[in-house]
Amino acid sequence: MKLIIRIIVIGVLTYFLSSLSAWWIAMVIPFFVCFAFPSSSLNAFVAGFLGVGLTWMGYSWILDAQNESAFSYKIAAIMQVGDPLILVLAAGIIGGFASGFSAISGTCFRQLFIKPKQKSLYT
Amino acid sequence: MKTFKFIFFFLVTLTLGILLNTRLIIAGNPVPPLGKFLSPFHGFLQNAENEAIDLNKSLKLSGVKERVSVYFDELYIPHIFAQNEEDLFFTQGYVTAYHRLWQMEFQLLAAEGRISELLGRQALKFDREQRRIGLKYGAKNSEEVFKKEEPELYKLLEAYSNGINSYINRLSYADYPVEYKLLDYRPEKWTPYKCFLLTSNMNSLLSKGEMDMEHTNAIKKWGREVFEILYPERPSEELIDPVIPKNTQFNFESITVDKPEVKFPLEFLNPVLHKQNPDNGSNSFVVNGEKTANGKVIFTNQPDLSLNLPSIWYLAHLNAPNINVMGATLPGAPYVVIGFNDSIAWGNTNAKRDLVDWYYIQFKDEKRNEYLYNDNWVPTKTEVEKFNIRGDDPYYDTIIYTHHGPVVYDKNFGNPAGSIINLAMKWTAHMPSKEIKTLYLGNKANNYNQFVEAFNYFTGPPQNYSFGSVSGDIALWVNGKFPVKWEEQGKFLLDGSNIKHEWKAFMPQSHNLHTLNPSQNFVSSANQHAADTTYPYYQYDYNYEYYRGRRINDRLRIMSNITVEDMMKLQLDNFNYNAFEVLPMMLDSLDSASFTEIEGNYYELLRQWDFFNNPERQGPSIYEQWWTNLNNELWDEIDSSEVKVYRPSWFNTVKILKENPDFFMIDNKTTPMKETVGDLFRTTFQKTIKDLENYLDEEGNSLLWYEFKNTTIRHLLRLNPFSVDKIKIGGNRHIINAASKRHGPSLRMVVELGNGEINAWGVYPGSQTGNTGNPLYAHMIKDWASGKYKKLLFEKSLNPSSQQIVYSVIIQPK
Repeated sequence: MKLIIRIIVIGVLTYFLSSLSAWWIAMVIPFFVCFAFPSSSLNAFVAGFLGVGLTWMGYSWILDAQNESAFSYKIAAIMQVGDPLILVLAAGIIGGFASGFSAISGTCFRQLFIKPKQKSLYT
Repeated sequence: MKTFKFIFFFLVTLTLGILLNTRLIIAGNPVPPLGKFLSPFHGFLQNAENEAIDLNKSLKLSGVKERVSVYFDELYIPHIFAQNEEDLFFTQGYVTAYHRLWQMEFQLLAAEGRISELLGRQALKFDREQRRIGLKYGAKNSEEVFKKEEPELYKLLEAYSNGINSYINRLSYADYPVEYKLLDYRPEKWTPYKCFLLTSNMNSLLSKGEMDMEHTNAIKKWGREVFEILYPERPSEELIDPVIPKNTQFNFESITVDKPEVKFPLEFLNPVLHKQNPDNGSNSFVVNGEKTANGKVIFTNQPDLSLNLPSIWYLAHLNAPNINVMGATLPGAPYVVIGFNDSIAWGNTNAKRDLVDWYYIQFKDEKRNEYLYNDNWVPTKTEVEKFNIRGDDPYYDTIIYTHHGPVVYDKNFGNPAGSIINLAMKWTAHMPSKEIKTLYLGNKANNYNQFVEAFNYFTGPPQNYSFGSVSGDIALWVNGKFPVKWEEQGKFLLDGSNIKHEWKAFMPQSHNLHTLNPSQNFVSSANQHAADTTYPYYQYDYNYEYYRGRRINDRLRIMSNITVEDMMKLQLDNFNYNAFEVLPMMLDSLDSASFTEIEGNYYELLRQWDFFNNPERQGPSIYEQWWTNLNNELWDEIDSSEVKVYRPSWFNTVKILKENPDFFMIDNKTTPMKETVGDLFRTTFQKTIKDLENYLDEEGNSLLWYEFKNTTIRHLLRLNPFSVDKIKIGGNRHIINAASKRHGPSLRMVVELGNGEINAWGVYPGSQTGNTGNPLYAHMIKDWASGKYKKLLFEKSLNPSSQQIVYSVIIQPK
């Protein structure tokens, strides 16, 4: 549940802040979100990857559909990737990795400041 | 441990971020920064436009003083209504940048020799050449003089530049045209200097043509007699139909220069500069009321240039107090180049004349601080040009200047190892030009006298300016800065130390060729010889046109009751004059009795062909292949020569075949027999059939001319997905409808003038928008190809709610 909320928070912030800033805002947001809310590294990565990856892929897909792939078709040919859909997928994967790693960094950064709970001898 | 883990992941993240923000070379191919480029909020998808226009309808800009209205019509031509000229040109800059920013900047980066900054080392040779031939140097000279002598007009250039900058300053990465994103760079600030670079660039397209070194090689290799057979200045007086009608009287005392006793430095030379496209030229013809059905003047213009996207032209209508002008502008400078106002229409075709001469330079010593001139050692000037190269260290090139001009060929450039020949380039394009003033005044001219007065200042690449007015006048002026030359001056390499080899004077403008209301009731020009031999000045170019001009004049002489549609039809005329003059002779030489079936079929197709290069005929394809093979076979001595020479013109080739059958090059030296012209025709006919059968097997499924020719309009970066190919259009080089594979009519314009009103039609192969992701990108190409002209909206005032206006923008001062 917490994971899903984190994905949504990262996704929504990315969607609304991206057009006001440079593309790498999508690497800053997951860092701070994962800094603010505790999670394991794997969890953070998944949240970052899906939060930004799905937003980038989804928005790419919407823009491309509105344009009926007219333009992405040409760009795909220039980039020699054949199908314009590959560009949409690539946006998701590249956005995902970029933000996944920054999410892990955010978590690790948080852990520098938080003392681990003393394990009780009796539990 | 935790610290280590953080540092590790943070570094991974940072590296990834930097990589995705960087242009990479993967397996030799440049890849744009993937993070930036693929982000749907910033990258290429932001260029996938769904609306034809998305300017803010109400803008507040600090650059304008008063309210300006911009109305876009159905072709997305802006109609700019301003209350003063500074606002007018500011807005023209702003709107042109909106449609064409990437192109207007890129073409001038190319002119200035700065493409290595974008493409890396591969462009260095091109860039060095651009600087060495002095395109930047010419622009700097012009700007300096213009700023000092024409401060009022310079202000308008500043206004235009501010308009462009005002647009650039609003852009973020997401808004950049996609070419910036693909190459990963950003637009830079515009300055008036760039407007002068545009003139340099036009010179490079239009006035750079010459073959001085090839001529020197040819005369040294073969001697005078062969030289005259290959390259006669006027191959046929009878068939030359000059720009200024024959028997025009010249009532002035000409400046004379005597041909000195000169010896040309006879050296074998190795020209390495890229040539301007020899097909660059145009048609323009104007008929007066005597010839037209309704008694009005009809004007046409059709500039033939390389066909590129975005198009070289941008249509605009500019209106302010004292100016109301519409027509084709060049993105990057504030005026209409070809167009009309309330009273006149004007256009131009390239007036070919040899304006580049090469001077042999002797330096005193290795230091190259002095060169020999008129028995003295004269100091040189040295400029070090810096080239920033993407992904590499900067390159420095030292260019030496003499009073003739830059020493283009020297120990660092253009010389094969072992021999060093220093050659300075003299070119009118290096001299300050006030072309901008000419066009500014021309845009406002109301009658013939004002038109002539305006072109007094014209020193840009020489043009045949054709003219028509609502009051019924038609005229033609050959304008430019022409040196007075003695016979053959500058046709060969000149001696830079000999004062007698200098250009002595320039022709006064009043001596320039012109004609007003000639008795033939029309004026026309198509890059042919300028005048008959009674003109007292020596006129020479290696590359005069022999076919389009004759066809136009043949037609205009017999046409009467001409309508606007007739003039459009003549612009689209596909008559192949070259084939008409030589194909019957070629066919007659074949032995039809011994034909195989397939030979018979090809022969019949050619026999039945009417010499019109219409898109869906097969005759033109067969003829084209045959003529190409014939020239390859005939001129193999020239193509394989170890010193560079060039092929004679098509017209002269036909003349040699007809009148000089014993000319030694007709014999193929690799065979023991002596071949005749007939043998040449027969062997190349058979080769043609073989080539075309191969073509049918491998590429095409028909020999339809437009498929075979494959006219392609190519994006300036040569990216196929942004280009348009297999356009269904007829014509070819040397045909009025001059569309060849990569070259052709870059604009078609027809204007009717009379009874106090102006009606105009036009179409061009491209679109107002240069943005490759715009739904209207390249939308006019089909209509251009088939000759569907668009009526151009030209009113003194416009109502924004009119049906003809599809979008309006109001600009207010901030």
